[in-house]
Amino acid sequence: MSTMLSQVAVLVEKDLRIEGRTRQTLGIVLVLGILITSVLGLGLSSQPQLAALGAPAILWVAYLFSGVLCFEKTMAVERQEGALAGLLLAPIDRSVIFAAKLFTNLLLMLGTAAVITAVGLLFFNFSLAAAPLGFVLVIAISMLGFAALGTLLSALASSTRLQGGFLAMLLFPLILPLVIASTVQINAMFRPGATGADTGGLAILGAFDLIFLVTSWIVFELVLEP
Amino acid sequence: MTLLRKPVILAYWLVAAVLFFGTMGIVFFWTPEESTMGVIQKIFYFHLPVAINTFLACATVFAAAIGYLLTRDAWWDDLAAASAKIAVLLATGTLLTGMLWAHGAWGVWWTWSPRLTFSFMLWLLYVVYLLVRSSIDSPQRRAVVSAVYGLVAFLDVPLVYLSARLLPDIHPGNIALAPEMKLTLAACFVPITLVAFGLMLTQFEVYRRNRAIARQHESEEQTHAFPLKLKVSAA
Amino acid sequence: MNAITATIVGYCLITVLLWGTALQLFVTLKGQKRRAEEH
Repeated sequence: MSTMLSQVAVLVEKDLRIEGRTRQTLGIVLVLGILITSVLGLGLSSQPQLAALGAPAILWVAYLFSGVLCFEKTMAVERQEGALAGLLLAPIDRSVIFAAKLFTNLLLMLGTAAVITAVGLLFFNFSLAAAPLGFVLVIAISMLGFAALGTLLSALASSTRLQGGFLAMLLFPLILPLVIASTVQINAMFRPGATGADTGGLAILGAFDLIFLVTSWIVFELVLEP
Repeated sequence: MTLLRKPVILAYWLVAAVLFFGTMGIVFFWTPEESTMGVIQKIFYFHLPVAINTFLACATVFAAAIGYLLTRDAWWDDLAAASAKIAVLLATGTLLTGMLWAHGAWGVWWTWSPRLTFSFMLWLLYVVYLLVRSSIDSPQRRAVVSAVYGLVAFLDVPLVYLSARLLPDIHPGNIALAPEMKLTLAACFVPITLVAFGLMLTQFEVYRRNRAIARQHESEEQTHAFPLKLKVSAA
Repeated sequence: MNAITATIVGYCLITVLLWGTALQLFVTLKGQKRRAEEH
């Protein structure tokens, strides 16, 4: 067990080191997220109340598109110079590769979500004061499920070498329940007269995470191909 | 499959057709009208069986996906593709009749109510399945990718259902059905299920034959290639 | 669109979707059988 954990750590460290050196993924993902938030903010600039009401949904649009880009790029790293072939030849369990990619994606997405949320809160005049920890919890749980499914599907998509929007097409219909549960939950926490987090949405988020973490873990090795 | 002789198939479809149009007649000329919603409620007698069969078709895609991932036999891939195509067909029917019902009962073509939202998301999931299949040329890749997507999509369905239920609902509670209505509903299930099942099998048969024809062409190309090769080497 | 029209449209829709597909499949099958026989 400890060898697997250390293997995962090594792979994650490799990914993050590459990322740190080139900054190709995080930079462009953050820019995309901020761009989306800005466009929507500009569009709604004449209606500040609408922007505040729509903030959860707008934030999710930004998370989704930057997330897809993030997952595509972290998987693309393995396509360069035949890195994936080398990885598959190494005597490590395929699930280790999955865990490492998942962890990298999750870290990058949490960072991206933090930045996008900060920008969004600013542009839409949306205050987290009513339930700051609740918001963080909901987003963190959502990002876990998002990253799990995203990691599996990005491996699937990259094995087809299809460009432009294939991963988005795969991911978006599947991720809708997560988005719905998350936005309903956030609205419940922040609407005037809100009674606090109703656990229905949280339960669905938890179930989503569980189902897709387990499924992705099991299916991932069927999907990898140099 | 010796069971599928031509007369059996013919009889099957004849029975299905008779029941289909027969139950339609019953719905319009015998079944009483529901007091609160009026005549538009009659859509329900076909809408619900179509919806249930959509779900069954999606479940078949799931089973076929697992079958393929476990055996890598193209038989399962053909089953998945056929069921998915019929699932989309049925989902389209469910969605459109749902919208017609919403318009007739509540005056709007669309609302993000749990049932309509669920219908839409289910439709979307399997339309994407078909798009995935048409995007990939290599048969093996196509089979693997669609199998994984088909697996994940069905696992998503209960989550889609539950999350849709979080949305506000304009539907009143469940409608109370008079005994004649329950009978009509039960009756309508039969032809719809027969047709849906028959369509899946027929589509499956079409895909199997396509594959057999393609294999035949491949082996013919190979046998034709040899005489040419011999000619060249002899000269 | 009034309620009666909508109901009728709904039933026509289901009929066309299901039986239209059935017809299309039968025609395809026939075409396949003919191609197989030509060999």
